[in-house]
Amino acid sequence: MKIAAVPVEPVHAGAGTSGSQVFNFRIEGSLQSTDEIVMRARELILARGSADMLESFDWAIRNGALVRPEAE
Amino acid sequence: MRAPRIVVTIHGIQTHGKWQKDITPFLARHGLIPYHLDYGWYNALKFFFPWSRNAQLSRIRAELRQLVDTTHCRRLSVISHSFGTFLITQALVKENGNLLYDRVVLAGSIVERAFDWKGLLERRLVSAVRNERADADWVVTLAAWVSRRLHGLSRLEAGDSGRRRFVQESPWLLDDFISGGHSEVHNPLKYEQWARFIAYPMLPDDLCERVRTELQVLRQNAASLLGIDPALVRTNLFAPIDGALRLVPGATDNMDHAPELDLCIEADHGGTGSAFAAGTPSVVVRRGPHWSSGHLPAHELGKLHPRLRWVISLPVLSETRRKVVGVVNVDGLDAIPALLDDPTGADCQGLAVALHGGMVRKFQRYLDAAFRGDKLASLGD
Repeated sequence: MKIAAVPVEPVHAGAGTSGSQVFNFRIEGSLQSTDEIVMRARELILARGSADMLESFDWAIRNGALVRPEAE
Repeated sequence: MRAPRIVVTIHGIQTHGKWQKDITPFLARHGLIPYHLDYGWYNALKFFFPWSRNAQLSRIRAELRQLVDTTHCRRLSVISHSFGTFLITQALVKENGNLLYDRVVLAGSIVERAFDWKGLLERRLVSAVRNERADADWVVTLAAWVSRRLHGLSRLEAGDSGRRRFVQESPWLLDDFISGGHSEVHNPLKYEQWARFIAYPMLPDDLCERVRTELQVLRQNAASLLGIDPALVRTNLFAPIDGALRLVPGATDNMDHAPELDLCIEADHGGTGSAFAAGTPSVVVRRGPHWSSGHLPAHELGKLHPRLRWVISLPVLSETRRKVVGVVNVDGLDAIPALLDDPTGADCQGLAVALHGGMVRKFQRYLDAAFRGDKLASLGD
């Protein structure tokens, strides 16, 4: 799995005035519980989140619920 | 001004469609506006003659076009029974894009079982279909028999999809059946479910309340993970409504800046739009006094809370439809938390994955239930 922060390009006239940043996290491949980002996320929940959140997180990783769908 | 959500009801042969009046309060309860098509008592014998059916179809097509012109409703939803199912599907095919349906309920359907729903769904001529069958419906069996055996005389192209499933399968083509006959399929116990199905993505009270609860939980969890005051964090749910992403009414938490409730975001625009289009989380941070122009139109940026500094957008992927069906936003006021300081860094990405994984299951369940018209109780929660 690879995750990359891709800048979202402006789409409206007037682009160029700075002030905010927009990034989309593109995920290539499926998220596995052994991926560094997934482990970091899980540690964050373990440290500061709830048991319910941890259970939901583990379910989402196991069931591929965070995987980007195929383009239609 | 948003277009009204109109539900056309259309009856079958040899009836004045009492059910059309009976279902009205159920539609009204979900903010839907019924439009009852009444073409009078239509004799069963006339149904077998092509000239009579075609004349009826022409009248229905003209009335539907007139309804769209008058109301500016882009897509009509439909509840139809028996001959009405034939008329509304033929109207959709023959109008070839001049008429668009949103969500369609078929009851006692005499539409051919091989009807190309997938083609119409892919061309977005219709958004979703719910076929209500009855296992002892002899009327639709007779229609299919006449179509097959007396086609030379009747020119009828009908089927018994009111008794047997459509041949094609799609997550947007729902199917349900009861034990009973042609009239029993119009069971009043179903009216609430049909109204909920048509109202989607508006959430009925039970599911909306549960979504609000989950938004509160998410806000608390996000504040905890970020190490900031929950009072500075807000959450909300966007879904495609009238061709753009809009806040689902009632699905917000800690949002008190009224102009934001009217936000309208194109898919792939800004953080919310890009999360919806890409199916992966987005992060937006404002470092200066103003938002960059270009990601959203100026009139939409003007609706944002003046103290808003960051937004994390989390797409909700439907389990059955394998498609992004909404975006949950977690955002915050006054300051950018340390974990979000570098949106390209591993800390920020880990946070987004943690929040996304921690929330998606429940939102997925509730939105899929709303899509089907199911009640919260059916989920066993």
